[in-house]
Amino acid sequence: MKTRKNAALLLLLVAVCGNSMAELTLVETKRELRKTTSAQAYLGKNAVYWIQSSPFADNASITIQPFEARGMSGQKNVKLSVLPMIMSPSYRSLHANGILIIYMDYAGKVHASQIDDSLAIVKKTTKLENPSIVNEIISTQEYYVIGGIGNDDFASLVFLDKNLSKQTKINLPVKKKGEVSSLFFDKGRFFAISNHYDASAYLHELSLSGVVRRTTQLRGGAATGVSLENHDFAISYRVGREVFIERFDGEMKSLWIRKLHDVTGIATRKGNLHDMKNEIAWVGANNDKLIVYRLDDNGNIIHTSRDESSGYGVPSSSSYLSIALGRDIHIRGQDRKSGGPVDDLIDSFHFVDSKE
Amino acid sequence: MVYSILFFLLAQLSTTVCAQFSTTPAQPGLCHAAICFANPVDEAAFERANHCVFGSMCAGQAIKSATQCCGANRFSGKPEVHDKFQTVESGINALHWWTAYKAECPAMTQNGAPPDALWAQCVPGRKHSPSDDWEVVIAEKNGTSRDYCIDGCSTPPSFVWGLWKSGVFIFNDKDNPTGKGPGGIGATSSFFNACAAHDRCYQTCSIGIDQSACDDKLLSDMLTACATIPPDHITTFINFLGFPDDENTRKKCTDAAKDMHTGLQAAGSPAFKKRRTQYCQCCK
Repeated sequence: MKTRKNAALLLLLVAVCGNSMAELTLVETKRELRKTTSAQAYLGKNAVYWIQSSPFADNASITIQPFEARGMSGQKNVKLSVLPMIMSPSYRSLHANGILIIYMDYAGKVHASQIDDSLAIVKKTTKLENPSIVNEIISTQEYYVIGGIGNDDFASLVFLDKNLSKQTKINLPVKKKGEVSSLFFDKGRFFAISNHYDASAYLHELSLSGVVRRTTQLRGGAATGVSLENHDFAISYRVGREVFIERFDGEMKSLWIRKLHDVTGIATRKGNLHDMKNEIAWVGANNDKLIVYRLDDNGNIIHTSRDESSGYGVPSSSSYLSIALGRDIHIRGQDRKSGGPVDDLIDSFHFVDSKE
Repeated sequence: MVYSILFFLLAQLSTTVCAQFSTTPAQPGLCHAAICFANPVDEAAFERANHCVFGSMCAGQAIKSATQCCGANRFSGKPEVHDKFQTVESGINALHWWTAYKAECPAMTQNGAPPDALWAQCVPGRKHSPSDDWEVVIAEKNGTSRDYCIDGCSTPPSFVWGLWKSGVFIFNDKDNPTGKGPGGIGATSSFFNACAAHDRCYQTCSIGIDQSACDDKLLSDMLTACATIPPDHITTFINFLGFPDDENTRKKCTDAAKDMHTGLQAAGSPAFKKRRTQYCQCCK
């Protein structure tokens, strides 16, 4: 009996020594009107913006602010012709030339608006036929690639030219209802992850002209992914209530798989992944708490942070976003619990996860 | 002279005297309102208040038996309830339309005229208007006035679908987005009764009850429904990606109610105009 106790203690010590536990640092909180939708935009290598839509029906607009900024610092207001109800949560461009936001209005119509380089005015807006819900937009010099859910409820991948005049639908080989959840470029090609109603997920490799070269079924569903600096990929997915990260090399060969946790209570549907140079970070929620994991190149969890003290309720499937800047991870969102039934005031939060 | 006397007698015998919208370009001193008056005194009061005159009683038209007004479609010439209530602003903005209509028609009443092209299908299982998204659920008697047509929460299907896919609604259901589905709490969180009251509100002619009054009452009623859900109640369901998900039911309910209310503020004015146009008239 004593031997078994010692063995358990040894295992615990190994686990603790290999994985530092920390508290997420709350750097800013403020009481504000409940916003309907938010998004983030990556422009170039280091500029990331936090975008929120107005809560007022008679003020169709968005605010754009550097993601890591606090208070009202650097905030710009951009007028729109209609109020967004749901906004595409992520826009990534290798170049700092404006932002494209795609949003569904309260009449259920979908619009794409180009914000100018100064992030102050809308240059052009067009209506989109397909998709209806957008999860990710990536931008090249020539076109935007838009991933989401189509009007037909199938996973949707669309090319949109920079004049917003031509929409080209890309046919994915998996003919099942679902969504495109993640898009990422790598070495003259790009990848799309599709998730489907039957809890399956696929990684599609495409040429820059949109030809599907290879499709690989993943081990789970509800997947998201990110390309890594050395041209590997990290993909997060669920199998039942278990959440995993799997690393692939550039040829889509699996390098390792690491289980993060079992989903309990209110939790994120899909995790956000970040390339941290020699680490991979997973940001999400489990058991009604924000959580950040950092894994090393070999898939070992080397750092875990949780929000144990704020008491905030994490919006389980929307409304909080995260970025990696240098060694830090910033997480912004609005508390799920604090909104009163009448006054509509809510606590916004800004956490930072730092690792020694 | 004989025609003048006949016209005068007709005006006196009828309970309704009308003025017709002028289709000619604006001229100084002419009233540009397409409204009907209960009697010549009201019409004269309108003229005094607005510093204008109508060219002639009913513009020389006979009173229409179908509507008990002289309102006729300017293009087809057929009597139409709708035509009576058009104002100059009507095609521009539905909220401006209501502001103008209230000013022109302070004595508006529920319409008791027989069904017309705009109101012929208040039948459960059919759409109240061709452009409606949802079918009528209840046709409810309202005295001698047109029936109240209840279709519940009339949010556009793409709106419901979008909020379901983005996780604001737990279920893809317009009337009970946080309760109706496998694993849901059921009728406790249903907005149907709140939305039915909102339908009646849009269909009730009252100068003091405008769109925002109806919409705010709907929000209050929806939040009352949400408040009946235990605060810590968790709904466990299978999300559209095929995985079990847990959500706090009351919080989701209040979020859904607020988004539906914002949606009405942002995009509900055409529906408000359509219903008031169908249900209200100036003629007594």
